[in-house]
Amino acid sequence: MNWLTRRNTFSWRRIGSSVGRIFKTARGIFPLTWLSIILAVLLYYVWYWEVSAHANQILYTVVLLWLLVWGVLLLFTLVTSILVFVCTRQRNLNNIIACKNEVGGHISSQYQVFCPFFLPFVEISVSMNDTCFKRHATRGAIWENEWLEPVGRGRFKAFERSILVRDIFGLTAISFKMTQLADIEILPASGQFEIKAFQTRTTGDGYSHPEGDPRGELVEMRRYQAGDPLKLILWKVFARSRKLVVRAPEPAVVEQNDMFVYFVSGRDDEASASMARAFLSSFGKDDGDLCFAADGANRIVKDKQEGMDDVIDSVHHRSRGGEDLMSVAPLVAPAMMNNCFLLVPQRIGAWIEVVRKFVGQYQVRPVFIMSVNGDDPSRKVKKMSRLRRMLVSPDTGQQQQDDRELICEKLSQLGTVRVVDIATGAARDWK
Amino acid sequence: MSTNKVENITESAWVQILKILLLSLSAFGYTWPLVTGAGHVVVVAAVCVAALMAWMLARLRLRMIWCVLVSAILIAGGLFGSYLTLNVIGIVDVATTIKSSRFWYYAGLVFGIVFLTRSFSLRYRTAQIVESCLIIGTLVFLFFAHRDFNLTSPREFADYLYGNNYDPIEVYRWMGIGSAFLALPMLFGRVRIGRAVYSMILLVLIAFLAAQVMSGWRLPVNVEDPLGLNSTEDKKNGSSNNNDDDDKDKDKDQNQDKDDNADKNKGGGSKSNNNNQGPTGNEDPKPVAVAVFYDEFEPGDGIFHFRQTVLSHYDGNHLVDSEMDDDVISTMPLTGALDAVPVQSESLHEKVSTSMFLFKEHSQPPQLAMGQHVFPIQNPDPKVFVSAYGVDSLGLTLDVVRLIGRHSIPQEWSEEKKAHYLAIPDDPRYKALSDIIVRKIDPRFTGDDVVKALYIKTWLEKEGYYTQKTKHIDADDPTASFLFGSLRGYCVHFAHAAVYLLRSQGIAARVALGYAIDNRLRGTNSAVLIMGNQAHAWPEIYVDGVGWVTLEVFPENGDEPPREFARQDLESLFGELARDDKSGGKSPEARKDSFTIPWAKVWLGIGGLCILFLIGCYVRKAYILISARHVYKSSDAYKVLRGTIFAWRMYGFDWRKYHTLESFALNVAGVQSATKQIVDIASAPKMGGTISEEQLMTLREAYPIARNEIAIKTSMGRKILGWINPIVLI
Repeated sequence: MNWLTRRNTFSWRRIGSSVGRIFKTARGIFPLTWLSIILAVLLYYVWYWEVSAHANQILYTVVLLWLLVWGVLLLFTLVTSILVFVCTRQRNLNNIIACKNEVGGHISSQYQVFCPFFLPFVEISVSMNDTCFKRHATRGAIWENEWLEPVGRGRFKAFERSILVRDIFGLTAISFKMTQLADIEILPASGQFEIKAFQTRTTGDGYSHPEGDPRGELVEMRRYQAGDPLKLILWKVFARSRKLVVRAPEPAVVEQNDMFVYFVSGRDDEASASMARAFLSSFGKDDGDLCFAADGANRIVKDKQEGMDDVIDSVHHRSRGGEDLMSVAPLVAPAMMNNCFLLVPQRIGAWIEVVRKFVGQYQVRPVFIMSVNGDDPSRKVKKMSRLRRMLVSPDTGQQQQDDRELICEKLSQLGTVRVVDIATGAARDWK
Repeated sequence: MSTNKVENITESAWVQILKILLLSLSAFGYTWPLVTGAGHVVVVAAVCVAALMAWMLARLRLRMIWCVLVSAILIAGGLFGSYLTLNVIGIVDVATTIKSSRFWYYAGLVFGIVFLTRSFSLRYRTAQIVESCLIIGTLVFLFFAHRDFNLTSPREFADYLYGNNYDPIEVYRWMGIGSAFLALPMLFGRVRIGRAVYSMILLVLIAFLAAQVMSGWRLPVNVEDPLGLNSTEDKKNGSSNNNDDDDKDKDKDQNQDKDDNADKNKGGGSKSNNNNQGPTGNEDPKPVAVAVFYDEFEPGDGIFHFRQTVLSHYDGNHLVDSEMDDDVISTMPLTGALDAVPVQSESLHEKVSTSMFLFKEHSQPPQLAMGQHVFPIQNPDPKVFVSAYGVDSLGLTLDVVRLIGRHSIPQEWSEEKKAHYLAIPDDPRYKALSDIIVRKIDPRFTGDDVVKALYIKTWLEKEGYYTQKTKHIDADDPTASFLFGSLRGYCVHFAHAAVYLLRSQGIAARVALGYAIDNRLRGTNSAVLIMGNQAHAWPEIYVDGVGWVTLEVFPENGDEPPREFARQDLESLFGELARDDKSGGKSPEARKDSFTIPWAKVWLGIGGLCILFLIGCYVRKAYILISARHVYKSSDAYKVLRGTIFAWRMYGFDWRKYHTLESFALNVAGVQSATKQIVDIASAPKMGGTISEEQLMTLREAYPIARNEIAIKTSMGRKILGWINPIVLI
């Protein structure tokens, strides 16, 4: 779609989003808060009912004084907003940041916001519009310095900050956005990882596995693994196919790592991305065949760098709900499906249905890797009783815990659920 | 988890404590006139406990609906507990029962309200407005309330202020400023205490300036109802009906005028003085004027007559005013002083000076007794009074009985004048009746005009029946209809009847119109409040050598309810309003004590506080820098570190831009710097280490070197600024 066609295409969604954007900007610049509007109505009625009708001198003074205070606050908020905008813009005019970091790292953005301590009545707060960064600020007398802690992976070409100038009473507030150019790549955090997490069976590849897809003379055979006695090698087969195979009933001594790993992106998938990064880092060239794919990439990769890139980019495809799994699956060798690992996020979403469809269509029993960071979802948290749920509003942390438990329960019906703690690397099967 | 619990609350901890204090004060204020000492403790305790409970439940994320339910239960529980204690239990003594009842009542009520408002405010910032209103309402409730919460009473506190030499509007203005500032912190959310205090101080300064500007501002008062005495009606009818009410009032007034004119045409003669009285008599009378006395005066018959005009000329139909009555001032002194032709004997009269302040427009000025000199005076408050004038009057010091033996008509009167004051309707019954009345006079007083007048007065008082229900409107001669009919009528009929009877006996008489106030029913202060329902008509007779004498007729029978005592509070309030006397009628010395805000001292105090604050800051600065040089104990090692960091900070190097002191020292001063050395050594105790004597010595030596490092890195301008700046925070 070029610019010409784009211009001629009528889309309600685009118009809606444009209007929404304009409205948001206008609302940000509009200096009166809801509190202020309610106060205005109240003052009007006080004036009408009490001051005018009953000559209430106390309320007369109160109304006039509050209007004065209101005016002063409005003035200060406006002036401060202009000062902050101009000074901050001037200060960071050529401040472009370029670096590569990882989740939980430290980025010194060199961005300074004008926050003079001596300006009364107003408070200035700065927040990152991108939730992938946590902002830490150290406030000086005039300028506020910051450093950023990445909390989510991704590639960023600009940082957008929302600066909110409001008075201490909450009557007036002006917010505006300021952008800093950047070229930043944030990797997932490096987690601990044990290869055991990705082991499935004590067999070799899936060529001749009873549960695999039998092919010709390789029925009931498996690939030779280092450590197998040489006498078990079927040399005739080797002569024909140039593959070292042994009979399937023979148990393997060393585990085989030919596998299909798929990264499902969704809400709260950073721990899972860390696991993906750890796995890709530890998977050596000679360890076997690897088919790796991630949401949004729509391709199978065997190179771990490419895999890492796909994991980073998958952050922009969280809304796809894992639907790429169905388009990638046909590209994977059927035998590899037996060693199928799905790295799943911690929040429930549409991806569960895609996974269910995938399992049903390909008749596989995948291993679901649920990555957690320290806290174990199987740990028995005290469930909120019905009465308690009725009495109190739910807590977001509690909600997340409930989600993980629910996900594990759902997925355990489709395959093996393995919980891996990226902090310690400990892995264990769910229930 | 705990972080989440706190984050869902919209207020900082210190803000909550401040709000609890303010709410306690507010509850204390609301219940001040209602409860006793123990009750105050209960109320304040209820506020504190309710606020803490609201905070705890907000932390636990209790849903708002349950908070509302809890509040309702608490309020209902309090009311029910009070009722139960008072009516059912009643097994202990009366005092304990009442106290227990009050305890439950106020504890439940205050607890419920505070819990509800706090619960809302902790969750929704917009709800904080309610708390602000509560704070403002406290002062309004306490100080702007009408006496006994009766809307027709004056405002109690204003009355007190008037009486004690203060200007209520000035005091109210300061109360408004105070309550506005006390209410502002109720809008605080999550705010740093330093910034809040700093901002509030600046706001106070702005308010002081605003108060100076506003000192001349006065709330525009509705002249028609300056003290809001019609508030009850307004409240009942609502704003939408106000116009209707006005129209109705106008209609009523017009109707009343019609009635009066009808009376006048039929010989009644009264003018529209009754406009301010409720037409049905059911409405509260409204004040029309206030008279302020400057000396003691007590009328002989116990009635203060405020005469407006007289009717003396019989035009063949009824009595009307006449130019012959040149001893009566019947026009307002708009352009200058007016004098009456002197006819009163000064030897028998006492000179009385009064000031009259009218709330309603009058075409003729009411004057006490026989007004001789009427002059304009300054209106103390044009928004309250429509006009003001002074009157010098002559009041008869003798009882009428003491005038017995005098004739009515002097020899020097012309025939025309005699005829003027003796003209009566061409109806022989007047003469016949009067003859019958005077026939009973003791032969010793036969021919005495004053005795005749007294007999006629007495006869009318005994035989007449006072009622406002019989108006004699349809009669050609209402006076005849009254006198020779049922003898039922009101003051106009009695006055006219008396005048005609007196004239028929050759006594010069006329009808006076104005207001009459019973001295026994008024207050003890030096002002007389004239109400609309006190409009009156009375006869006057002329006595040779004395002048015109009031001859009031007091009917013994009637259906009028007994007159109520004058509202002493209103009388006092209006009197002080009229005087515009800051001394409140006290001695001139009291005037010197009148309250004025000592602005010079206030500004001096603020300036002094600022200077003290600056001195304090500089002393702190010097102490930190000097104490770093004298460190002899390892426990004082931090002083060197503090002094060094302080010195850096003073010149604009803020360590907080760096994450640790070590990185600050490394980046700003360098690896081999004395600052780095000081940081390394002095930080050791924090890491669990100790400082040896040698290290202490090193610190002492390093400090001056570190100061040199700072001096080298700092420009002269920064140094000067650093020394000038009193506030250096580390």
